[in-house]
Amino acid sequence: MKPTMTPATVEAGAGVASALGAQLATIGSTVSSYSVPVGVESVTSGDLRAVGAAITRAGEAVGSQNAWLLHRAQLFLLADGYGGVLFGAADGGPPLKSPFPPGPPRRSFWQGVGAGLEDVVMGFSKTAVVGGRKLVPGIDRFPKELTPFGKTQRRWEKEFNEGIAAAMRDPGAFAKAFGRDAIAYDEHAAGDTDYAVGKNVVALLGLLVPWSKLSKLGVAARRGHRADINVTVKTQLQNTKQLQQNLARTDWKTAGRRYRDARNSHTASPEALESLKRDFRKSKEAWREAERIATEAARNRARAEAAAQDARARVQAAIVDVHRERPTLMTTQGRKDLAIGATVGGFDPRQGSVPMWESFELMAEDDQKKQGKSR
Amino acid sequence: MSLNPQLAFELAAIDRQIVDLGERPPGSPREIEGLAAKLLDHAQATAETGARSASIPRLMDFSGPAAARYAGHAMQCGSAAVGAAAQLLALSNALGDEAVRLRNKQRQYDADKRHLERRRAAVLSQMRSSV
Repeated sequence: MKPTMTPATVEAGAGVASALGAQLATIGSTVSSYSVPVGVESVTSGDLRAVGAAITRAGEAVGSQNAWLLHRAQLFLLADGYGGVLFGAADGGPPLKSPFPPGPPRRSFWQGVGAGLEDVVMGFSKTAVVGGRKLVPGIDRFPKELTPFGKTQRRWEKEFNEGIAAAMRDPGAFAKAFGRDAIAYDEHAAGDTDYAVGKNVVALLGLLVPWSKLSKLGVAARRGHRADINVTVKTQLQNTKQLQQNLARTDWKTAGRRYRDARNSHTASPEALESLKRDFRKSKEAWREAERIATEAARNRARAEAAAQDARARVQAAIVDVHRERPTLMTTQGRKDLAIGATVGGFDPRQGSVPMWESFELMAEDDQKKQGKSR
Repeated sequence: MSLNPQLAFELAAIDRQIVDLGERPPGSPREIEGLAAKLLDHAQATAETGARSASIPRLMDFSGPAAARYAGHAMQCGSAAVGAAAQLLALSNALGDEAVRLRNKQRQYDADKRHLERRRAAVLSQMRSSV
């Protein structure tokens, strides 16, 4: 266990969690205390109370993080390492409350968390997108601080490369799996919170990689795939044309031999001789034409190969781009200079309605700027 | 002195229409709009707080399974709060629509009533002058 969780950051996080929880709970109770004015037909007081209860529940859940963190810090069960998982449920501390209404219990806690963690490992190996050194020539060594907990660097690199290969093979399926994993929608909808808690780790990955970059990578991968298919098609075409050219050449040679034989035997009539000569010339023209077509096909194939090479380079550039744009949640670099106020205040919904994912992107941009300054 | 039967009949018809018009639709559109504005403010505050809650893990200097669990929880809380904010926003919009609907209804009622009362006054004055 690596005690990297310093009391200062624990207290900072706990303080923020507590303040935000109180804020949400206040809003929730205020909203549910309102009554619907006379003359309104569509909205009932029940609607208001339900929304208020949802906000209050979210507030209590946020607030419970405070007690959870402080308890852990007091017990020296730092939030890193296996201790956090092993003693997470057994230490008798305050529970992490769920912001969602309780659903039907379908699994035991350990089954749920186990399944979630298993899924996380699968998610890491299937959906992780950061450049591995084998696919990206510019990166000769995979960054050590990006290696997730519980994995060797070598294994992580292997899984990343496999993940990238899988993503390039089928970008659509990749995006689908990534999206499903990232929001754990089904689990939340079913109220299966334990499983969702495990699965939400994958959502962290979603936080780490800006979506615009991901979609660029997806487009590049699809184009690369198409370019590869094009190369295959053009190669087959070239082979066919080459074959046709060879056949035409054989025809020409046969016609020539026939003409020469007829001429040398002195038995054929002049009309027949003339006809054979015409055939001979015609077959020569056909061969020249076939040759021209084959040359054109070879040129097309070379062009397709160059395009595929270009597309491959673009995919690699996109991977490098994703890698470069990756914010620093799980890295050590630049983590220290994240001031609480600046980070929390980096997002202002009053500027317009910003969806959650976009707001994460904005925060990531802030991080980038901050890193640039501190360097 | 005789009463014009046609005017008497018209007066009775107008009175009947006034009775049919019934009560003025109750409620204050301004009050409804006030509640909608309050809910909009709450929705904004909730969304902001939810986004901040989702960003809490970024404040902390740790990694690992427990940290991931904690971060997942913060994400859940954030998304739950943002979802509730969206619901609030929808309620606020519905209330705004209700306010517009009620105001239109009341205006229509007032116009109808004013029209009937004017007609009634005109008929009465005609009756008075014809006597």
